[in-house]
Formats: sequence, structure tokens, C-alpha cells
Amino acid sequence: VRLLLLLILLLACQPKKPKEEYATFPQFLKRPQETVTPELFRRAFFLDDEAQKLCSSEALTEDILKRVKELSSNFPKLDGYLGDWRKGEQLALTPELYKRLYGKPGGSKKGLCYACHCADPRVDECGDVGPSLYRYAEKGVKPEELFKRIYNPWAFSPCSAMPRFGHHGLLTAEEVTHLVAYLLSPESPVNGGKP
Amino acid sequence: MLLLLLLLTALSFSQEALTRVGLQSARVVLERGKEYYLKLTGGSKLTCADCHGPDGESLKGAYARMPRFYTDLGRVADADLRVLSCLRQYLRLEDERLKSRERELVVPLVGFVASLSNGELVFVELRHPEEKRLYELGRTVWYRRSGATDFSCALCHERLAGKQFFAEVLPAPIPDRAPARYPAYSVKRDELLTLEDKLRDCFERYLLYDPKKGRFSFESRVRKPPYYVEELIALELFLMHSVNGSTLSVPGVIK
Repeated sequence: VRLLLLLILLLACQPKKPKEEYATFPQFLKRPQETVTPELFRRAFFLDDEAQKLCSSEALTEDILKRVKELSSNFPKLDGYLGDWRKGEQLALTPELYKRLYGKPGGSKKGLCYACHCADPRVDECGDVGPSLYRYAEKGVKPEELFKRIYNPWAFSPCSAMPRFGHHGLLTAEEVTHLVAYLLSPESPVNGGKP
Repeated sequence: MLLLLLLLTALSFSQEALTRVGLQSARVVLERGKEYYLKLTGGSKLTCADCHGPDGESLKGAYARMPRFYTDLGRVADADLRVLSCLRQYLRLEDERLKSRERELVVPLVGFVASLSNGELVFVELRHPEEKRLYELGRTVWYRRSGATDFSCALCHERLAGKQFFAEVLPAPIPDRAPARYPAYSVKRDELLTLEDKLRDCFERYLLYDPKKGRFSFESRVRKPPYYVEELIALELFLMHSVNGSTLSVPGVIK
């Protein structure tokens, strides 16, 4: 029976026969052609960012790490570093994860925190590239330090795998404060709060 | 009814069965490549087979040595660029005909040519100075951190390989000898991907800056490098050289 089913599946999956005609081609575009020139690609890829260049070295020496740390010391001064944990949750959860937890649209692809970290215990599709952030508030990290750790992780852990969210403008300073609250607020599900 | 059958089949079969289905679909693309090889002609009225023999005998083993320096092109080419250059220079396909369907012709041909080397060992040499230069460039590209994510190929596929990223395990293509299985059929996308296609797609993950604005912007970021750009071919050269000695086995199947 399995063999029969497989046969049916095989037949059903056959791609359409290619046109037998080779002289003329149908005029259609499969997808829009991307128009970036080699020159533009090169400028984008070999980005003029000293810290990034240093971290591209195959051997990350003490000197490199020290220099990258020095280069990563610019932070915006804010009046407060604790934002709104609910907005932080919207940034941290992808739309798929958000829908799974709350059954309604929400979330965003801006933070992608769960790609590398586990945190909210209800989320089981989480990575282990970085440490688990479950009950992060118990670590006693001050809001300003946590803000800096998300805004530019290379200030603490040079050349680490974590993107420099604030430095690159992937997140605004305000958005980073929301993530700080998501990790520190006792009401946040990360710290066992019941949303 | 058919859908139900499909669903049942999908549920009752293992990864192995999926692979078989994938291989079957991939072979159809390779067959199309063979048809192009035999019949496709342009201004010169020549076909690929006119120069390389009706069964491609003279191309056996060629793919296992690519990318490599080609005197007639004056540059290092991967299979994709080699095939495209043949279509242009020797078959003399008109630009108009190539413009919109370039990849649709090149990819099946690359698949067919690659399959002629099945069972051969990957043997990419660094003899010509350009091959050496591109190997070093490829190595640089592999380790270069870039874009708004600060990613590099090596970061995820060497330093963090084996770690979990969402629900996926980050693969280690060099120890896994993955480049020796390209062109590979993507079950999810239902198309054959050459190594160049696959590597080119990876660059989207970097979230590259908009070089005109000098900063990152979701709207105007550079998504992928242009086809056949030197950096892409260099990366292929670096990877294929890294898996020298592996048995070529195409088409591979990826998710």
C-alpha cells in the first residue's frame, strides 16, 4: 500500500513538462531582477566599520577584543532605561510565536530574541546560542547596564554573536528600553508573571 | 481525494521517502538540462553536444574541478558562469533570449553537467595566481562579519555550528561535506539550486547596509549579491577546495 501511495505521490509531484520549443521563449519574468551592481554589493558587504573588521579576524587576540571594547563605548543618554514590557514582548516574539501564545496577530521580526535565547517558558522553539534568560530579573542586572548589553553587546562581550541592535539601528533606543522591561519587570512572563 | 492521499502519504513516509521524491523531481530538472545540452542553439547553430559529445563524455569530471581559471574567459568561473559563457560565446544565444530566462537555462545545464561527475572526487586546485587570489578572497568572505546582524558565514556555520537557532540546528557545511552535494533540490522551494544560488541566498540574512545611505534601512537594504560576482565565486572556490577529496553526489536534497 505504501508503495502504491508513493507512486501516486511521485506522479502528482512531477514538475510540468518543459516547453519542447527552443526557438522562442515565453516572455515572462520569474521574479523581479535585482539590480544591485557589484560595486554597490561590495560597498555594502565590506562595510566600513572598524569593530566589524577586527571581529572578522580568524584569530581573535586579546588586543583585538580590547580594541573592539573601546570602539563600543558610545551610548545614548536617556532619562530612564525601563520601558514597557508589553511593547518589549511585541518586539521579542516573532509573529508566529505571538500567534501561538495569544491566538491573535502581534509580535515582530525586529528582535528575533528567541532565535538564540530561551526566556518565556511557554515558548519552546528557542535557540541555545545565548544563555537562557528565564527569570533574568533575579540576576540583579541594573536597567542601564542591560540597556547597554542589548544596544551594543560588544561593549561587554566583544565580537560576540549577538547583533549590535542599537548601534546598527535595528532597534531604536526606546525599543531597547522596552526589551529591558521585558527582561526585568516582575509582571513579564520571562520572570514568571501571568499575562 | 488526491490531497487526502498526499497528506496520508506525507504522514506515513519518512525523510527517506521525501528524499526519494525530491530526487525524482530533481532528475526531471537534470533531464531538461540534458535536452538543452542536446538541442539548444543560438546564432552559431551549435549545440553543447556538438563540442562536448552527445553523452557529455568529455565533461566527465569537469564539475569536480570547478571553480577554476578559464583561459578563454580570462577569469575564474564556477559552473554557472562557465555554462552561461558557453551559451553566450559559443552557442551565441541572443541577449534578448537570455535576459529573462538566463537562470532557467543555466541551472538545469549546470545540474546535468554536474551529474556527469557523479562518483568523482572533488579536486579543486590552486595553480593559477587568480585561483590563489580568489581562494584567499573566499576565505575572507567566509570570515567577514557584515551587515546589521554582524553575521559571518563562519560565525553560524563554524563557530556556532551544532547550536540551536529557533527550532533548527545550525549546520556545519564543511565537516558535513555539503558543497559536494550541489546542485541540490530544495523540497520547500521545489527547484534545483546551484551552489551559487544557495550561497547567494545566504547573504539576505546579513541585513546588509544601504551603501548609498551609509546606514541600515529595512526598505533599501542590499539583499543579495549579483550573480557571478567575484566574491560569490571566490566563496564557492574556498568551500569546494575545503571539501576536496569528497565524492561528488548530485543532485543532493535539501529542505
